[in-house]
Amino acid sequence: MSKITKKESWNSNIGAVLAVAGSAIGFGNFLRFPGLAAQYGGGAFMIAYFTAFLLMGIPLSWVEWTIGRRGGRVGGHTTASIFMLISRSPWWKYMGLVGVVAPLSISMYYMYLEGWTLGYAWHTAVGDLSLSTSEEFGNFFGNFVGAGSNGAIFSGESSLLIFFAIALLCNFYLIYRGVSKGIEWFCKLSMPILLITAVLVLIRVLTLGTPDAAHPERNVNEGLGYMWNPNKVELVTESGKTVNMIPASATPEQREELIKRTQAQYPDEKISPKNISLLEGLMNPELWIAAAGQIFYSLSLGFGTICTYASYVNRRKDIALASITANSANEVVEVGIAGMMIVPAAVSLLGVVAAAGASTFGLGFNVLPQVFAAMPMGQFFGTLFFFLLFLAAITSSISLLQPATAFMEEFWGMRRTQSVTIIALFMCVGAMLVAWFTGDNLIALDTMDFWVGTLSLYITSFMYLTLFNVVWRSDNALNELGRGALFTPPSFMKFIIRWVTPTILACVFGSWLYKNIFVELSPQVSNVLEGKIGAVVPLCWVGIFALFCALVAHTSTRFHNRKFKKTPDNRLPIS
Amino acid sequence: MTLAGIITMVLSIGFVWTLFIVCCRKLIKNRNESRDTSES
Repeated sequence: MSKITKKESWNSNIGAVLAVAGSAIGFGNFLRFPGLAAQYGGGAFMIAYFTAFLLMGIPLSWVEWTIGRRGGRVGGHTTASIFMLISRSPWWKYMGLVGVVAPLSISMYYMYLEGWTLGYAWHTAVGDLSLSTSEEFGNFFGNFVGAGSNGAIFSGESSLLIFFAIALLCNFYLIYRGVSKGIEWFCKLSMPILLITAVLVLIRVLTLGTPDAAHPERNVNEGLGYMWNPNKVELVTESGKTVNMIPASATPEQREELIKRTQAQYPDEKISPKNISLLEGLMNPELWIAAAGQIFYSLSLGFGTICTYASYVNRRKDIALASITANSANEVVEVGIAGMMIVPAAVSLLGVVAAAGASTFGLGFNVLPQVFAAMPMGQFFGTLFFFLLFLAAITSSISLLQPATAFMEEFWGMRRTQSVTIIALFMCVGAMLVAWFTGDNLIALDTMDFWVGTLSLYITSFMYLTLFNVVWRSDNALNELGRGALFTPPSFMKFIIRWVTPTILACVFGSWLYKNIFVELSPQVSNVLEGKIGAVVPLCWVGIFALFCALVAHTSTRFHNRKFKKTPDNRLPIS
Repeated sequence: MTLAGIITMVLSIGFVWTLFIVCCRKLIKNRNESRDTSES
């Protein structure tokens, strides 16, 4: 293998902030957050959401930035090398592989989703989405993503393959250009475009007024109320299980319609409405778990990308403020823009019933195209919106490729071209598998999202906290956080990082396990246990990539012979 | 939209925008100071 490439770094601190913000801003901001906030009733959800932001989001991202910058200082750029260098134990090298394998595996299905957004932008622009009924939109979506049978998009019936290929090429071009010329350049360019686009769509939505005079109850005010009103009415079964939600502002007709629709979904149960106040909402543990989970996804915690990005930050530069700035940029897009845009648009154009209970992808690719089709100048704003989603997704996906690329460079000393080629090969095969196994309700996408997009993030986050609090010791780690900081992190953060954040994380992870395994075996688990090919094959490919990474880490001589000096304050040697 | 809904929305959006603007101002101020120092 060739000699180790020249050390890369960000051109500016603002570039690093934009790259981390770009990594965090994605589907979760524009589709997942509005759906959750509306489902749990704005007020109660936002209290839990901001509590999780302050007690888990900010501390955990500080932990990742600190570990990352320290790792970069001693020559590591991935969790595999950084964990080993900080812990001085070769075992941590293998444990840190989760932070290399998981992001690349997530990128395998993220590229497929990017193809969706680009395809929807194109089809909205050329007028293919000027449809009229929900069924037509559903059929378009099904045909476009190839949800009918395995290999459908490769049969030439769907144009998705072209957009999928464009998304792949864009990602590899940017990642090939490197950290400063590729990722930083693109984020500096795309983030302002993304913000301007989002604000334009937001202005259009807020000026919709009452678009249909025949339905005066469908207006922006009702839409905002559906999103933000703290009180709500749940539809519960006789056994007390919540199955749907009616907004407090819904008219009696809307209430009846929603109850009928929900009753039809549960023919064996008697469905009845139940008023939930703000306080009652806060007593619901599911709300807290949903809010904490959203913070987790939204800020890209546990992905391994923040750690890699932070490793390129100069050791004298601030990370404490940079971390909060990146997080706050993400929150502005999520709460300040998406929170006022998506659900109000859906309610004001289609009504509460159509918007209620839509899933993340249902909201994005079934409900929103209907919204744009019904909106004056909807073709233009729809194109703009899906292009915005594409930009948001691409800034996230390039961050997912960087840890694996850096891993090949640092462990086998490869050049950029070589590492990108190998990573492209693994990623493309994985992405093709996800795009092939689309039958059985997008089984491969669903399985990958569950196993690598959720489970691995919790595991990596626990590793970060263990390394920060136990191995490195929180005093030393907090000193590192404060180095070059533009403001001093408050002393109580030590207690929060040491005790509160791990407790919240354990509760969220425990409840996730309990819900998906012990209460009812989730389809993603049972599909694997039953050996369904669409679930097993993509996971096997992830396993092959993990074994390959373990082999690379094992055979690499770069970190084997490093002699660590024992120092009283547990400081690391500087390379 | 109820009064409680308006309060929730204004407080939430106000919080995130304030945090973002304060952080950006501090970062930009620091960047300008660093530039002045290096030029002098």
